Amino acid sequence: MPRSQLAAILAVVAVLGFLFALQVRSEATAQLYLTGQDNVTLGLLITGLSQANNRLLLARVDLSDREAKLQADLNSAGGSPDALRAELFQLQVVNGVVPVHGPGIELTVGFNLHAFDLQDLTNILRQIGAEAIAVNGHRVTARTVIAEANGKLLIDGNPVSAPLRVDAIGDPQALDDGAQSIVASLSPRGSTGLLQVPAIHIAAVAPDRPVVYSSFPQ
Amino acid sequence: MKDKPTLWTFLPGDNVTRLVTVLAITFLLTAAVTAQIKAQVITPSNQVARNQELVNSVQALERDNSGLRAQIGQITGSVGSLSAQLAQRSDAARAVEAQINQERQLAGATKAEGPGISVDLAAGRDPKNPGDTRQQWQVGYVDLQDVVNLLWSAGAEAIAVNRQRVVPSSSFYVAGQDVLLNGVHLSGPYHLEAIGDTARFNQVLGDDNNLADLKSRSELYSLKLAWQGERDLRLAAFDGAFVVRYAVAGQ
Repeated sequence: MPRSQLAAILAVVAVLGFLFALQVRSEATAQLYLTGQDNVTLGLLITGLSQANNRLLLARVDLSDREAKLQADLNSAGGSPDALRAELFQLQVVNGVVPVHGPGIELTVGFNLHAFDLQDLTNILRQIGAEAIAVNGHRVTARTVIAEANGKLLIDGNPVSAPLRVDAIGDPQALDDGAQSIVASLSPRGSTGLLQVPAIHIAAVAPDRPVVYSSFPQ
Repeated sequence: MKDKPTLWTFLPGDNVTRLVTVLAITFLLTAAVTAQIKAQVITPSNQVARNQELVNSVQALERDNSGLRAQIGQITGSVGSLSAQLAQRSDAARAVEAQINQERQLAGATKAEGPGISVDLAAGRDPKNPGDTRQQWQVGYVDLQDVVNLLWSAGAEAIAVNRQRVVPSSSFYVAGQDVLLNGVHLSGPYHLEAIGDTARFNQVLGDDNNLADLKSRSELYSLKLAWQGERDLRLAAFDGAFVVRYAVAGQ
């Protein structure tokens, strides 16, 4: 057999071998990627993203509504700032700087919690749509410092102890459904209670957080 | 003298036919070996297909999430522009708009700049212990929550995790070793940024009484926990929207 033909055969075999290796490698990589996230994690991601997207859909409706009201205010003769005031109140509620009222749930816990317990609890309440939260009369947002010192639970430096009463304003049914898992996880440790309440009043506001280091470019 | 017979000469036909025959055999052999190895690599069940469907669902939801955020960003821009126009109409409107801007800054709905600290967290070495369910070499949402809580306690004025702002309505949603923050899927390594007093941040992070569990795991598993002062952090604005439908301001 001529050398050139032999070389051609070897070249083809080498290319095929390379393609073969590439194919096996890509299959293995694909498999690794798929098994990188187990089905439970993927299921949790689907639940969490669905909840988040539902909230974004609500937010889009609310924002479009506000846009229409602002346009109406602009078109009115006096240029009433009602729509602006509505936005201000909403931001004040989010920041926890004004007292609030509305329907929601009241969760009671008859025993002392650790800081991480309360962090988890309030974290879950925000996840399921709580718009305002108070624990034993202290306003809690995602910026609240929940800590423990000398065995005492502290909320923004204020000691709190059992019995704990957690007020959360939001869709009562959604909060009640979501809070069932909290009650189920806490109830083996002592008495717990969960009630839907038509009108919750939260008078407490979050402490002032002075702005010293930040600037806010347009 | 006659050539010694070889395998090549045993093949029928001329040289071209022989070459085609060798190539065909090589190809068939390669295909057979590939199929065999693939069968060993891929799990022979519906598990992969099921897993792929879940991955597709997550990816579709993430695309929706991103699209909705973009739409919300557009409407927010329009609302801001209309608000600014309305504020020109009267002193009362101007005063309300000024308050809105202040509350938006406080809420994390605007960009923020300033000195502070950045903290890096990343999974350590997997000790590959059979039956290791706690996976303490990984960084979980609890670790993020602990560091964020500590930074707030040290007077942080604004915090972001992997560029996602932590706002008053934020929640850390656990999904395995990943988290959703403001509904956005984040996974390690995590980069936290906080604007505030750099010296104070350094002090609380360096205090052995704080983040004791994280520090101990960092030593045991080489889990990354590192921080450094920053002179000029630039945090993006919260790109979601606040939903307030039930809570009404006032007693």
